[in-house]
Amino acid sequence: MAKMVMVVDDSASIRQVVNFTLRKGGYDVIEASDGVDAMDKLKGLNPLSGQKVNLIICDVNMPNMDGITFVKNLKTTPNYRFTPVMMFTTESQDSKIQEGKAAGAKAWFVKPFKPEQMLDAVSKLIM
Amino acid sequence: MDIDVSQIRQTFVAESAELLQELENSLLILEGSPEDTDTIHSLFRAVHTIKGSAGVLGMEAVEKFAHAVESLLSKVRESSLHITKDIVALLLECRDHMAVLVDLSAAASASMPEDVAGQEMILIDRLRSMSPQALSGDLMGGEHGRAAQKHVPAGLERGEEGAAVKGTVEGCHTPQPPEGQSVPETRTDAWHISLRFSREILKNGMDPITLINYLHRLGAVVNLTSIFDSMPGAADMDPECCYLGLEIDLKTDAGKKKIDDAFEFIRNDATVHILAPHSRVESFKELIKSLPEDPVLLGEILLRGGTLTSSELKDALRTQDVEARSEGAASKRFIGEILVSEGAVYPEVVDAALEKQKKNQMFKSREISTLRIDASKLDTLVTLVGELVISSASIDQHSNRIQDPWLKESASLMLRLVEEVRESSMRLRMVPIGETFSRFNRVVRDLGMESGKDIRIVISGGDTELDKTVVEKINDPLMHIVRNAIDHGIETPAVRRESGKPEKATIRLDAYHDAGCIVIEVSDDGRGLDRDKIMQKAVSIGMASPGQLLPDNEIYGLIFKPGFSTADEVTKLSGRGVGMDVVKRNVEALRGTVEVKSKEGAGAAVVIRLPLTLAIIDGFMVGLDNSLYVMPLDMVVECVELGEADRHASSRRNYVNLRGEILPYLRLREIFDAHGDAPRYEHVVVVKYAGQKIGLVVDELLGEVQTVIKSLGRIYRDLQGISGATILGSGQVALILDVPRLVQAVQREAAASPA
Amino acid sequence: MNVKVEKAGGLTRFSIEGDMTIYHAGELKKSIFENLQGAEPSQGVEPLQGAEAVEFDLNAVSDMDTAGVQLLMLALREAKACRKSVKIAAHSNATKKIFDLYNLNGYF
Repeated sequence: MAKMVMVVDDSASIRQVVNFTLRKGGYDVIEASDGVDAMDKLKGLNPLSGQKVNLIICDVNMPNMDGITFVKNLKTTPNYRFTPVMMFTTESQDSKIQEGKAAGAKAWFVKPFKPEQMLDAVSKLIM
Repeated sequence: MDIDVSQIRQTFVAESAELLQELENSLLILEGSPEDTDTIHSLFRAVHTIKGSAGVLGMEAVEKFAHAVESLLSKVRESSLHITKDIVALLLECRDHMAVLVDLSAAASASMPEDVAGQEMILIDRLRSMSPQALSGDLMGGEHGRAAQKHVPAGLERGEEGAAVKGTVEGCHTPQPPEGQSVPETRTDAWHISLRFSREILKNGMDPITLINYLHRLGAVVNLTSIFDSMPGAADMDPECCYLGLEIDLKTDAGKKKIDDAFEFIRNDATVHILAPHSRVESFKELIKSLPEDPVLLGEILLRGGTLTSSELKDALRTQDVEARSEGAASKRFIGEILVSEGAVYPEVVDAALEKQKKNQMFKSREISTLRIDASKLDTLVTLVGELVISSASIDQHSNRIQDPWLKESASLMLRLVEEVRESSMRLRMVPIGETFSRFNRVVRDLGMESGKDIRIVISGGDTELDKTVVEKINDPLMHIVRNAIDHGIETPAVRRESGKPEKATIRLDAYHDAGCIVIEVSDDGRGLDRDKIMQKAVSIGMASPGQLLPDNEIYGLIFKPGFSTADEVTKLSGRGVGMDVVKRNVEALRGTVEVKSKEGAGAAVVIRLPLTLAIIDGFMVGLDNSLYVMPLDMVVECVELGEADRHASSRRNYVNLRGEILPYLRLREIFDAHGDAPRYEHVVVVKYAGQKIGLVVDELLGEVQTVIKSLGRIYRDLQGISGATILGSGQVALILDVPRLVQAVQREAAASPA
Repeated sequence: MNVKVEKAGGLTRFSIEGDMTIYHAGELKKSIFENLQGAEPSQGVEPLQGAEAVEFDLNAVSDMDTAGVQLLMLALREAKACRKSVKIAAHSNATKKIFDLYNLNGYF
């Protein structure tokens, strides 16, 4: 069964690129445009029937609910509190990364990237 | 990887346009309230997103420049730089430049035109001068700067772990024998990787199993031992904690960097030792010493993996404290278990069977809530729906004729569904006008500055929806109107002060629904139109005769006449008029009307009325001497019979008494030159447009129809009173009445011959 | 996740269904160890005599992660301490893969 990756980014073009890349890599992809949307979509899945997200790739700067708040919320959501999160950022700000790590996002990935880099990083997080 | 680049580029362009607009709006807000942190954040985010997307799509020019802008903004965000008017002005220019770059990149043009490159140099210089320390490194370093930050795992560059032992990359003992000195080396050609994971790693979402899987991709895992030695007894064991250690031998062509990078995400959650092939025996000794488990066990593992020869191991172990060793062995019963079952422990190296299983789609990814669609596809859909409306009307007519109850029922159900399809497909084309409106923030700001006038803009009704085509085409007329208002309508602050008005002038953009129309109103509180001067001009160019008395709205209407006010001095005199005839033409092309209201000294308003949609209307059909005519249903107020008395009087006066109200009317028979005799009873359809009611006298009332507007050919373009044609379900052609023009014609007539 | 426990003669058989992942680790640990206890390690150390056996049927396990494996290793260790034998009666694709990757097949 293909693993499911959720991509959370407010940029539709980035979502599109990531989606495309991951599908090529054999993953299933679900998109969300910000933290609120992502929480809604996660809640809409039913883990009991095998619908679960195995990895979340998430932007830091987003409207409505930013990435770090989203991770904090995720960590208190029973069905997703141990789900790996890869933060996806052009941030070079140390404090943001520290804040994100404290919130529970351990993997950070710097934009821009090549498709192979993305797949390589993802394969370090899920099989 | 064959990504459909052109499609994604398109998305990027559309998205950037939105972001650039957002950027502009934010800047304009900041100009007024420079400390607004929310706005600063959204400003930053807009630039940041553009940069990110551009980077992903390989649009380096955009990315590079956005990065320069972002650097400045990050200073602002950190409050080490404060927003000033100069910064806003500079950022606005940067925004414009970014828009140019996006267009260039979208066109995939390889090189930057010289003027653009020149502009960029200037802007970057200015950005740098605003915040020298923020930018010099980034911009001077250019590509290098970026390459460096490209893929550095967060933990590495900063040494954030400090003195803490856990989480640091302790051993990357590469063989580096001092020159001219031979050091004992191990014989193995495999890398040895030793991993001890933190208790928390699983809770952090990282699973060591994925790393093993990953290492299998890098090369051949020739040996792997899982150590659960640190796991406490069942009572104390926390099932969410990780008690795992791994000793791995990996044969690979990958370099140390690549192997090291495999652990980039778990650096805070694991102690990693990597020993290169042919490492010095000393390195293994150090490793064994540093690991928590029993040295004998570790030695055995290394031996088994072929990393060490037994003599090397012996050598390694000799240095260990013998007593500690035996103690360790005694306290850990599990080790014994492992070693006892050794014979069975060696499985083959996990091989190709481990290749990814076939990926079954678990379920399709849900689409995001908005979808971008090629406008032409939408147009095709709307056209088809139009045809569908016609053919379902035809079915309805036939079913009425056949009088089969089942057929009738099916037909009426289908009709209802088609109606719903029509409505929702029309809604697809509707977009809010807000985006178009908000562009004027900038226009008003810039023009106001240029002309030395202090102007604010107030926008309302931005969420009023209009057909997409209309929204696109209304931009230019609005631009004309707003420019005119600023150039000519609004006074200088000094003049305004003298006349007792606030120095800051106001321009309002408003949109709202009114009787089946969308009304867009541009108003200002300037000096208004000068009636006398317009009249004077009209007389001088022969549009009016001296001494002629015209109502105000007609006089103001003169400014829409071609050739009325194109000359410069006239423009200044009239206060309005640059290209107003063009405005009128554009609006009429959209089947709309435009009028101007003015109060001298207090301001003027230009009111544009546009139809809701372009393609399909709900119509009211009337018959006239075997011909069919349709008028937009929402303009029809009521129908009354034309009384005998009124009929007889009608040749003398063209109005009827409608419940005490005077209603001017037109006889369509006269307008369309109908032959044949009028029937005994005629009807008056009362229509209303722009607040004005008139009656249209027709032979027959035929009721509501849905019609798809077909534009008339060029030859019929100038036909008076007709705006289009439609094909009915029966295949007959009906003409669509141009109610707005008819209303205006009646008004003109009434004005020309006052009763 | 669902754990079915059957005890017959000297054999305790766990049939696990669903995900053996960290999300269910607490639950899983409880159901395994509640059923392993009760049989104290025999003092007489006579391996041939009445050695109890524990079996895991993983055939219906849809997903397994390190937290899941770890519990099986813990069960193995605890059972062996009581002189019980532990066997994996059946693997699913998911568990087979994890066991292969962790190189654990020799233990059971």
